[in-house]
Amino acid sequence: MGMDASTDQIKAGRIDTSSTYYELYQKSVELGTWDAEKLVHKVGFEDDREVWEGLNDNEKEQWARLISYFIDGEQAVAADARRIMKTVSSPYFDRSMEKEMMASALALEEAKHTQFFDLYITNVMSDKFPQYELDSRRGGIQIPRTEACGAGEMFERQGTLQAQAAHGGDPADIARAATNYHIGVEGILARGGYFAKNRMMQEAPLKLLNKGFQFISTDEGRHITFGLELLQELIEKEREGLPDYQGVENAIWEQAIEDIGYITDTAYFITADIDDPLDVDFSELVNRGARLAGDMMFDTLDLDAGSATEFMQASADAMESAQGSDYDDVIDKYDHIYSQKMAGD
Amino acid sequence: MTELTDIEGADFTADDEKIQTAVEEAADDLGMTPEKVEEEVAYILDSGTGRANNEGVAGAAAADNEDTDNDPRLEALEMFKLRQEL
Amino acid sequence: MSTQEQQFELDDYFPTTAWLTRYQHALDDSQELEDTGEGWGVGWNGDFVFEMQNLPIEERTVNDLPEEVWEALEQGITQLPEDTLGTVLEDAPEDVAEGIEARDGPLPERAAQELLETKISEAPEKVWPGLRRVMPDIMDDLLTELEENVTDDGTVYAWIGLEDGGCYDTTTMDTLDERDHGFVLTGDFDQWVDLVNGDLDVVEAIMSGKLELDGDMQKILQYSDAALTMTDVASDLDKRFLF
Repeated sequence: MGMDASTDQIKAGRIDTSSTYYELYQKSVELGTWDAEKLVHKVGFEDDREVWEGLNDNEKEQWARLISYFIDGEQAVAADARRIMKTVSSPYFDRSMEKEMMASALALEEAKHTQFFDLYITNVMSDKFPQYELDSRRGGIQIPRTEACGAGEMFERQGTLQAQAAHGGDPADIARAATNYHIGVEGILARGGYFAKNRMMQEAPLKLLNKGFQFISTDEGRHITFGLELLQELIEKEREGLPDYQGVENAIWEQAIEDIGYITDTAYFITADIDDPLDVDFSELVNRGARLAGDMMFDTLDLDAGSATEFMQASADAMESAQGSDYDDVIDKYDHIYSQKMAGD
Repeated sequence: MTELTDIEGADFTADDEKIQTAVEEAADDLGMTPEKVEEEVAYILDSGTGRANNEGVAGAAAADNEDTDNDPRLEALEMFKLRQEL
Repeated sequence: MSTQEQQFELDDYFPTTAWLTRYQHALDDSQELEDTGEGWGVGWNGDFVFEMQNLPIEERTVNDLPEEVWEALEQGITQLPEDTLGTVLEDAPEDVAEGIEARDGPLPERAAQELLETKISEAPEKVWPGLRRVMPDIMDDLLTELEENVTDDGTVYAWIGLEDGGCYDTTTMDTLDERDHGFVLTGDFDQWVDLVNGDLDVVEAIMSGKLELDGDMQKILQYSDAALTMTDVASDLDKRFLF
């Protein structure tokens, strides 16, 4: 039986194989090229359908709120991956080749995540998703549940920020976009979602969904490391005093503070707003999200803690407004718009 | 890249010997070296950061898999084995 | 004024129940807390526990306490007439007596050194009633604090009763669940020192895992300003750290 040779023993020419970006790319090739169709065939939908059918409507609603923002979020990040590929070739980065390689892997993976959720919703959860087929980039809108919560707004903001960064953005623009995408969407919103799914799986063990989440979360882990590496490069240059890079740390904080509002709203939307039937626990979700944010911003990026209080206050403001929101009403409104779009009006 | 036994930040319930045996068995089944399997499992958990931050796997709670004792390293190994079939 | 000349009371020292009482009054007098905490704990439990772990009671000895404390003890012993000291030492526990015996030098110095080099965790049991009577009051009080308010594994549970922008009671507990509470803030003593010194931002501490907050986060977020006021009041209050 043949054994794999270790890749780091193979000599390369123009590619810097000692680069972290190369390592992330290579690991994406090794770990991130799983086949969503094969996964679905291998594990099958049957067990999940049985568990799903055994859930009451409120429990299904909780899953639907979580999965809505995942499918729309994955599609949004997949769509923005093209912009990331452009952004990492910016002259503000010293080298781009390995970054571009990693960004291309990221693009494939995000597309695959969208595919997985599309397959899953269609074959297991369709009763809670009478409407989800529209492509939001082709005149459609996001799923009503996504539109109703902070996640929907966050994905729209992501498109704007990524476009600004890709089209000649300066280092602060790039930092803002990377913060929103890799720290906010992938690092807190998605990972908070995995925390929620872990809790919900205790009561409702959807086996295929769990496997899919495991692969997705592993891919996203590399994307987050990628984003943090990009941010570290920019921060280093700012700290070296290079004039073009001034304002990077500030941009990261500003964006993080904006994003934590969307994220808190989403956390409330998937838990407390519907009385948390599958016991995620809003408090523990918030605590976990805070730790994930802290690990990235203080441990990895070593940001000055000066704005931590503002960060919490932004979360507090969002929670207060979430408590006063009538999400069902908003969902109904978007249901109506969605139906009209589906009918081709 | 971090050694599997050096990763921080998760509750590891299984002893290192059990992990080593499981890795060796998997390597044998997959036709890979144990070192490579270990490297992949570590990367699943930490994405190169040295800290177990893969919430979807290291957060464990894999209610569907009781064989792994909820040790994230064994959960990640199971995931890697499945990944090799896909 | 040097620390040797300055007199401190028990309620100057952190973490003691006496200091906690001062903290209670400061919280209760705080206009800011009255404003930001209005409605806090009304109809639900707003009481807090500050769980301070790993006080260095095993690692430190009596002469690691603040200078004025151990100097007062040293002086108290060395200034005793030798025959009084001899009488006091007659009742000393066996291991203390042996320890003094094994040292070189004049008796008062040997006795003082033996006590100063005692581990904090062992101090309450090694100090016998006869010695406590001739010890400076502050040392006696601190030993009582150690005995009664620090658990064997070096934890202090400070309970803070909070309601509607005021602080109605404080105490220390032997276990976390001795009194009902709504929230627990837990961390190593070192982090608490930084926090009450104003050197550690409480939000950063929670985000980076230096402190852990357990309780209803909806309430914490709703009253985030009150929560910040609580740490501000603690850092504004004068204190001397025992460790």
